[in-house]
Amino acid sequence: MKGYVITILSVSLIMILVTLSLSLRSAYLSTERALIAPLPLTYAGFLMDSVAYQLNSAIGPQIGINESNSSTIISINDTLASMNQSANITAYGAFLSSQVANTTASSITTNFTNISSGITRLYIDQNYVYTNNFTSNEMLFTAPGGTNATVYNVSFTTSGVRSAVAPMTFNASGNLNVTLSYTDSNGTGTETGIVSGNQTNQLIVTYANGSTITVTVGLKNGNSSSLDILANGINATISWNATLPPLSTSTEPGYAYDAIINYTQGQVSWIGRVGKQE
Amino acid sequence: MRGFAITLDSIVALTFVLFAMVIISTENYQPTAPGEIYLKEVTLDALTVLEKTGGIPPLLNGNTTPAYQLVEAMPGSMCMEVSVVNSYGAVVAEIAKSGCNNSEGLDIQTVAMPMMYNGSQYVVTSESWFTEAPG
Repeated sequence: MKGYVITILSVSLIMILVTLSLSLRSAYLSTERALIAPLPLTYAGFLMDSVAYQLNSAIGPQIGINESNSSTIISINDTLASMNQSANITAYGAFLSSQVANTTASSITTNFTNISSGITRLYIDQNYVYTNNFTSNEMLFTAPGGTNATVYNVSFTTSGVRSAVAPMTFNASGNLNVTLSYTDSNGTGTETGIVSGNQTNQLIVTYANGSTITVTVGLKNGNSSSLDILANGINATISWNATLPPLSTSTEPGYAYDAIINYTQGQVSWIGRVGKQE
Repeated sequence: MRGFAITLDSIVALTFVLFAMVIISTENYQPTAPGEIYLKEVTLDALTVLEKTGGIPPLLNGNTTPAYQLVEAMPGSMCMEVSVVNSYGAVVAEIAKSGCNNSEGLDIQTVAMPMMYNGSQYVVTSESWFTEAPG
């Protein structure tokens, strides 16, 4: 009789252990599924980042965003020169929708119309708008209602021979610190002062062939504390940074082109502007 | 007869106990990330590094050194192959880590990345696999 009791106990024990084993196996598989499930999302992030990087490499600008508790500094390096990347950008969008979509077993549609028309438009930190018109050779940094910038450091370089400079008129009671630096065949000139962000303040550098570079700081298209640089008849490389108020807690630092991409792979779907979050 | 039954019963019981001990000793629940996740992440990172260090244009121009250095830097048990296909579907560049010529029957992680260069479009593809099961 004792033998049967031992047998029953043993069978009970083994059943408990088998149940435990199945439970552990199930937990392991569940963990594995939970870890593998986000992989398509990871790839989607990788692809979007890569597309943004490729567009940035093709049409610029070089952009930097530094954020602190007291301010945000946006830095831009770009060129004011006729540059026609329209065909390249259009072909890239079509390429994403066809060959890349096929290769990655996904559905990709793009709308790059607004950046393949010769104007690069960037939304920076969700508040500011930067445009570079490669036809009129004009860049503009602004924001609806004004940028609230407190400092602009602007420099540009040309290969022209400087013939005249109409300096910016400074106003010590203003609210916007400006440093302007221009480099050309004559060397480098610098102007520093304070202007009012609610007024239009201009520096005009004229070159021997009659071409000009016009830097406008302040009111532009009704938006205060904006920055506009126009190169008329001459190419220039520009570099500037703006000190701006800190971002609100609901604003994500980063930039996005005025270009839409719609990506779907399986259950992963993403639609939005091509860009990069910092 | 009774003694035989008891003996048989004991043997069965002992077999169960031994079986239980084997289960206990082999049970080892360590929730580690599957190797394929590691492989996928490394493959994604490798392409990102290759892109952002400017290693792809030289590859298209016949200079395989930057890409070759990257694949050679992969962990010992990991193989990687990078290829570039143009918009016509033709392979224009291809390199593999040395000693990694056979991936038959192994799990492969593949990542594709679009790129523009000199007005042309390409798909850069990276394939990775373990030469042996990760420990």
